[in-house]
Amino acid sequence: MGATLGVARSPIALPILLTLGNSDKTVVSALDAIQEMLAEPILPWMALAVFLLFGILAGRATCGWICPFGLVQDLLAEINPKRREVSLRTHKGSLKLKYGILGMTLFVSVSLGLSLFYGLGGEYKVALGVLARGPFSALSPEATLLGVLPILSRVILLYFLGIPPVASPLSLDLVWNRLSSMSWLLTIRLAVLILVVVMSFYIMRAWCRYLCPAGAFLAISSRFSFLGLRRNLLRCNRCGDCVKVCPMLVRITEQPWEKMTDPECIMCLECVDACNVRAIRPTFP
Amino acid sequence: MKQRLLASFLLTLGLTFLYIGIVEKQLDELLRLAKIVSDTCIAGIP
Repeated sequence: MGATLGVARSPIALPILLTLGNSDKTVVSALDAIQEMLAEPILPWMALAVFLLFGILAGRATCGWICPFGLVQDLLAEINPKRREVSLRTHKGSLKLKYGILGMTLFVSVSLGLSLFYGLGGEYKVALGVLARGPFSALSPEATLLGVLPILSRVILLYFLGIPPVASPLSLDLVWNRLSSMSWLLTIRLAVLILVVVMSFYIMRAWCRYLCPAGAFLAISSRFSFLGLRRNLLRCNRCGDCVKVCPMLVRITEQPWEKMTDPECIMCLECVDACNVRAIRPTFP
Repeated sequence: MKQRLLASFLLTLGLTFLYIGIVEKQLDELLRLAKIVSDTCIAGIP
């Protein structure tokens, strides 16, 4: 398309989880870029700028509107009509988990980057193995779901269809051999994915709320976001409908009415839709 | 007031990082990384 229009391919980094790998890919997750660049080692100015600028201009709107893993979680929540909600105390405690995951990811990447910069990190990089290029990317449930599983499905489909290179008929030994050749990394990845899918099935946007390091990175700058929500006090009757529909469990009625820029708000605008008296509306700046 | 100041500071910081990134030709670097990132993301397949 770009070649047809005479436009050069230009890469874009977005502050979301994004694998969807193919050879012509030009969109990359800024968090993946940070990890890969630090492993080179290169200071990831561009990727850091993406997190800062998106966070300041639009808060966590990319989590609510662009992230493919957010869509998967929304679909899972739609399938299950009997969703559960965690207690407020558990919710508040668990919110910090994602900062821990972000901290660990950055600790590994930054320590590796610094040691490589000073010419000391060769053995460290070897010891980390595949985790060196992306301590989070290599375990990300989004990458497992949208990157690993499609490839695995193809292999398994070819296997069951008896298409070469697996031409022999199905036997218990062959299946067992296949399963036992699964790497430890793949086993962990699948376990993480299953855990996250089950969590998201019962709790809306569980991954975004408690575990997503990209969301945690955005949340840091989104506290000061230009984009926010304003609640008209004259119209608001504090019915609580907005709180009930919020997928991130933000206590909207307890937020400042002039402008709400809660780091957990993903600007999905469900509260705006749910408000019968139209008291909530987006505001910028 | 304090929030607006911090927002402006972070916006300036973000734009500065963007400028440094462009000067250091990190856009080309991103295009190269887009392919490597895919390999890391699908690591573990037997």
